[in-house]
Amino acid sequence: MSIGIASIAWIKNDRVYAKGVGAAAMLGVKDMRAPNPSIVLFPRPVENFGRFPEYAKLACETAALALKAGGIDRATGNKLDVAMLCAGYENTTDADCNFFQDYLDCGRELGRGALFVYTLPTSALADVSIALGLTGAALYLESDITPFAELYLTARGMIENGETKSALLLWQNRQTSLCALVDDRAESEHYIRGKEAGRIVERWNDLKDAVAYLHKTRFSGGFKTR
Amino acid sequence: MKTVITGSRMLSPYGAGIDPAWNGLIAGESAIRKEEEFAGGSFMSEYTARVPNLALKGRSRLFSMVAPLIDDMRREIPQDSAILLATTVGEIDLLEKSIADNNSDAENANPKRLLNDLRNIAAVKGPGAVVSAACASSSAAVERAASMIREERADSVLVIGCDAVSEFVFAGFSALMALAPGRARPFDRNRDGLTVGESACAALLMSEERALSEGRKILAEISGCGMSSDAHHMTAPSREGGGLVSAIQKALRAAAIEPARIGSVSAHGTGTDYNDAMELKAFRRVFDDNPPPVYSIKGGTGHTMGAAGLLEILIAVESLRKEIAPPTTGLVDPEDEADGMVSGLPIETPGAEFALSTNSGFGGINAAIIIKKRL
Repeated sequence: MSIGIASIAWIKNDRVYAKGVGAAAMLGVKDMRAPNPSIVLFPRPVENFGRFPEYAKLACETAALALKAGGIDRATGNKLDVAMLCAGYENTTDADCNFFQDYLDCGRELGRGALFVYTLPTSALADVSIALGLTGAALYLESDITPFAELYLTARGMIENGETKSALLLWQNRQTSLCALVDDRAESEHYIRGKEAGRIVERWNDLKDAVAYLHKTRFSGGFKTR
Repeated sequence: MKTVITGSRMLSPYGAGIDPAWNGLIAGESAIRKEEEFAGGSFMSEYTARVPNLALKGRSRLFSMVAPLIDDMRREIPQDSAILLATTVGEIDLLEKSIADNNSDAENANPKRLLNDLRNIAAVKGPGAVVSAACASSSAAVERAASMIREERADSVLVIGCDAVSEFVFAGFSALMALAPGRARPFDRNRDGLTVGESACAALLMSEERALSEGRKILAEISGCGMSSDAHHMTAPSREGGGLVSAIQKALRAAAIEPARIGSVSAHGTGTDYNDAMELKAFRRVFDDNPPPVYSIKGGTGHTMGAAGLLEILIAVESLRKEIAPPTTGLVDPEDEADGMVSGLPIETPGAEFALSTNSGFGGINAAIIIKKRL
């Protein structure tokens, strides 16, 4: 078994990037919500998508891009046992503030359920699960030192133990949504393998650096350039 | 690598320690009371399950609950332990205050801050993480701890599950029309919602090898875990219980046992119409015509959110030890699907070797933990 990152997708501002074992690199401006988008992401229209908070929409889009770039076709719409792990608390803080401020503005009499359901760190994962039909474990897991690396090591352990065949790792802050697909498929030019793969992703501070890196290098558990 | 529980602490609406909770539950007494601070008005309910006589010494209600618990346990905890903090909303009263005072301190409510402080109190140097999986948060943390031990990433993990009663959560569940106007009555024909409760629990999980080499008392073994998602709806569970069935089957496979060996089930049993109906369907599917006794403690403790999983696991450990399943507090008239499974009286479980604890949460998250008797 050789486990690693099979694909990665980012959305930052209006820039989209996705690359993986299953697709050529996609890089461009986000148009997934346009009437005739260049990329169709979801097996069927996502109910109430227009009402999701922005970060939940981005979570669904980056997760769908990561699956697509990883060669996992959700077009059939059947449910799929893919685990989902996430980190990043900024959007949860904002959602908590939105709910409670709205509650205060309503005279401390009644909150809004539609805002309350987004006050959990796993709320965006729930939307991902429903939109893409993913039935694996779902949890928020935030290391106090290495958030993405911890998600990656956890996913590796789940795959090695046979709990799942693949996992989506979602890492969001207010500006960026990043999603990686981890599984045990064979080596590829875009395939980051090894226990350090999580830390490699975490070292990228800037989307531009990450794009440049993925375009130019081959990974094999460490930094090697062609 | 087997995972065992070698120590624990509990603070619940019955008071400090496992004994008050166990004694109260076995007697069928509910710790749900009328809410003094913020109920009434437009809220659906006037009831919560609060920790009695809590000394509010810390910066938040949750800190006041959990910090003394960990401090009391400190001497048992090896310095190289990892630490996992499970919670749904953490110190949400800090955020409430920040919004009400119109300042920018909302980030202080980030659970990583609480994790860091508890790490210092426990004096542990191992890796740490916040774990959250809606109302299955502390079950998920137990599952994570067992995985870390199996993968040899740690051989001692302090798992903490906690959430406090707050206006934030109370208002939220009221807005979703999910609160029982009175006390929650899990699996009852006339059930009409959940009661918000609070708790702080801690358990020290170790590899069996380390526990034995250090001469520690083994309270129980975590022999199997499973998690799944319904992929159905943000707040309502999948009606047929397929997601929960999947989680239970994963746990059974991990424990390498057949369903017939489960001696009792501690269900999530919130008292809401859909959750309880879903669970009963799921249990029928797993156990066919021979289900073990099923109970819920939430009619006694309220729904303690992120603490629920660990609180219920520790009560299940007690249940195995004493060979008796507690009654489902608040149950008066079981619904038809609960017939033969759920009781308002304690049920003896002589010889029971395994117990199953299940939790489900928003987003269709499901968790199942199988506990093996060791004492």
